[in-house]
Amino acid sequence: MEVAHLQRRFIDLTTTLFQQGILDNQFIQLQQLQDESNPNFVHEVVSLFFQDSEKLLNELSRILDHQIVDFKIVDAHVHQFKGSSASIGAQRIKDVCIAFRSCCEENNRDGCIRCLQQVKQEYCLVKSNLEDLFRLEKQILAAGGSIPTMQ
Amino acid sequence: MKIVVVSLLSLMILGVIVGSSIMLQLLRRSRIQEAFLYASLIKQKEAIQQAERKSMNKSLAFASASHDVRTSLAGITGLVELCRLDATPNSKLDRHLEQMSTCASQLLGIVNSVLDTSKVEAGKMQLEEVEFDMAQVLEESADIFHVVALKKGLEVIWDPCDCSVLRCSNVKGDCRRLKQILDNLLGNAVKFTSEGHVVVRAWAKKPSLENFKLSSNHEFRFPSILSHLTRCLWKNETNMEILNPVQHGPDSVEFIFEVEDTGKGIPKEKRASVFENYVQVKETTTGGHEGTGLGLGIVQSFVRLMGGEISIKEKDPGERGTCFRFNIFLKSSDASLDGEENTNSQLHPRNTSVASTQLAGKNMTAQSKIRAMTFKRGLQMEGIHSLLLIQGETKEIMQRWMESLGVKVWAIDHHKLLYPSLEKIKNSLCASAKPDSVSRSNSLSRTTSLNYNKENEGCSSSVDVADQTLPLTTKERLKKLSFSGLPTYILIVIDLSSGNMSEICSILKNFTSSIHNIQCKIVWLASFNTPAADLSSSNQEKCDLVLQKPLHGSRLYALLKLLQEFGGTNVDDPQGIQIMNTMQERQQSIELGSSMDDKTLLSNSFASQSSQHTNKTSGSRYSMDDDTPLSGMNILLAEDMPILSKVAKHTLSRLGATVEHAENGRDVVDLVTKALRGTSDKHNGTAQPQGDLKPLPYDIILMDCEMPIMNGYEATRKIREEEKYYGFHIPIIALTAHATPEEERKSISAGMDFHLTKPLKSNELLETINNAYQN
Repeated sequence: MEVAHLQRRFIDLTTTLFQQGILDNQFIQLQQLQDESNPNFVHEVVSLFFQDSEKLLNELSRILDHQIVDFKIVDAHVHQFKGSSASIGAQRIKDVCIAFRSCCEENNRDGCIRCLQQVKQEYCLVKSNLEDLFRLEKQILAAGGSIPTMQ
Repeated sequence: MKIVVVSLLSLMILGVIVGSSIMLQLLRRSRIQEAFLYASLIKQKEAIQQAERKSMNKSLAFASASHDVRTSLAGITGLVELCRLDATPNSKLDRHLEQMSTCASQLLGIVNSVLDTSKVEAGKMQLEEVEFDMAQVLEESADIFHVVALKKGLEVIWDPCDCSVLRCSNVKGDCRRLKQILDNLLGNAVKFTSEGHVVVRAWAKKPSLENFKLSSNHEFRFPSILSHLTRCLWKNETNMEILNPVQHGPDSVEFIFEVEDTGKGIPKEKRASVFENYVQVKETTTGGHEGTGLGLGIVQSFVRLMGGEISIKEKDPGERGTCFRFNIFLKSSDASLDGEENTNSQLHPRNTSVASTQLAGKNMTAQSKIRAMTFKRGLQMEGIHSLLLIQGETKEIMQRWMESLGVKVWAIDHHKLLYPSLEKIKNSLCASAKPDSVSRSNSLSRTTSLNYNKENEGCSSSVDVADQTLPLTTKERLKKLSFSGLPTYILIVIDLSSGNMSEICSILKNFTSSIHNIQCKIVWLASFNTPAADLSSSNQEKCDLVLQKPLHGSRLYALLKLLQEFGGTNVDDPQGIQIMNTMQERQQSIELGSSMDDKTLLSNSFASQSSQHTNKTSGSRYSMDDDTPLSGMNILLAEDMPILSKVAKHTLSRLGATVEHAENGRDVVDLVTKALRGTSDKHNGTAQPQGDLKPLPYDIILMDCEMPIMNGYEATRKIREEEKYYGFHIPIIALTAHATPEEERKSISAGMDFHLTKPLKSNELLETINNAYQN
């Protein structure tokens, strides 16, 4: 039935995400923290992350829209974003944040805008992939299967 | 008449003279030749000795030059680090310096490998001794090369033979060099094979000294000539001397490896010279290696150092390819199981957290011990039939392994044969009588003979304990007893690349619906390049396990556990209880997650195992972090970001600690001050002596450095001031986003004790807490 097919897709998706560096080991740690007493832990953390990030990204776009930019505030926001993406294992976002911060230090507005674009792209990538992953999980569970664990 | 006689005589004399003169000539010539030969022999010998001396000198020169090279490299690395201290983090300068430091360490690695070789030559090589898991090393190497070989369409498999390696997996020896040997041989095999497979075989045995005794007895049977006798004796002595130094010790194990491929093969004339290849830099291996390859010459030296020998084995006529075989001697570390029991039983409740973190660090070896014990236990039931639909060499290996476990195997390699084989199994099923109720002792002895006739060569570990399955319910007992001829459980293993998935799935569906009272499990084998399209039309109902090829090591373990599950859902109880018994903890009942004073690794790993096995398909997962080494600890977490605090809180409570959360520096200080005042009031303000058993309000404070209102450094300073009044010192661990030395300096000057980087990782945290409580 569907289950094996879904499980296959799940494995494929997870493998790809890790191979491409979109997710890293920290995500596995999160998964390991999930158990019967907290069956939705990963989902909760990731949703928190999405909410938080969207707020941050909107703030950043707003600030960088002006000509005169207070780089200290931008830096603080990026620092926060870097921390939260590192904590769910979004490796590529974290890397872009590092570059973003150096643009802030150089007070380089154009560089910051470019980094912001990149960060937004990476964020969208992570978000859509994680949403796919969660959807697959739900479907697998609904079909009576179980989530295959990665070796 | 007389003339004839005289002439004959003279002829004879002439003949003799001529003959002897010819002989003399020949003799002279041969003597001259001999003289020439001697002379040239001596010259050759001298040349050889000179060449050896040259190479020895070269190695010595190399080895001594190594010190200078390494000193300079160390100088460069140190200076680069110093520069990095002054560079602003994440600036261009810092990144350049980081790259320089990486290049320098790479260079150091290359130099080390090259110098290893000269050290081996100069006789100064030292082997490391670390504990490692042999099965894991083999699996890692095989996996790495499997991926590489997949591109060429080859299979790389590890054949466990009689599973002796999986049983004696924990050994002490030089892991790194063994990996280098294996990687080199595997790399060559993959390089020179264009189709077919590469198989790594390994088996272990105890080297018996009886062989030598036998040979000495044999020699003694020639007492005829005294000189013979003394010569034999003397030879004996030297044999024993030469061989003994390596195989000493009651716990040394001999491992024999074979790397076989179906490639070009090596012609007989070149076989000796193959080992004369010297250092070959640049065999790229992924993951953790130094990055340089070694020629077969070095492989030979390493093998010899480990007390073994490497050679090229003759393959069966008609088979192409090469087969390298080598053996080494290592010390088994299974004996250390007893040592750990004693330390466990002496645990003080307070010190549990400390000792358990050490245990947490030893999680890996405990796990591999559990695995080794599973393999030793083997299968304790009969009547399992297995159908394998697998391509390639894996099928033979699987068949052999399952047959050694007592499973009846039907192996096919084409999906068209699937239906007829399933029919055959069904038919043998129908021709069954009721299972006999064999007495329990009988079954035990039968299973013991099944499992343990191979144990004679196995490792000396608590074999007896594995026998003690706790009293089972009668229902389970009946399930376990059956004729070996009757299929009562069926395991079907299907390779996803067997083609024509829809047909296979429909056949399977019919089969499973037609057998009612038989347990049937289905395992799919996927590989890295299995196209998803194969499953798009699959309507398979059941999927108990999906395993990745190559099928070895941990995946075999998962398969074995699946097979063991056939006996019922309580299969893990015996295993968990088994571990408890060997560790000599509470002999009584197992309480899941109850509040025992010394909550050690064992009871919790058992709890985790049974909770994981409520879902049978998760049989392949055996995570390491389900112990609670921090139980009983009160931790204060100061972190402003909600995501990080959520993750950290959860991690900590998972580890067993009680967590309180503060969102900024000011709140932290308030909480701590209140707690300090509260505790001291309890003790009427009397001065408490310094010591571990002081009732600290919080055992640890995890302080984020950047927080609003008041940051971590400021908060720590205030806390330290408060503490002075009460004579406390709460360990404070700083959490920062970057681990620069500057940050470290800041945190230490503020009064923090340790510092970790975000995001929080359990193992680092445990180690730090361990350190905190050892001081």
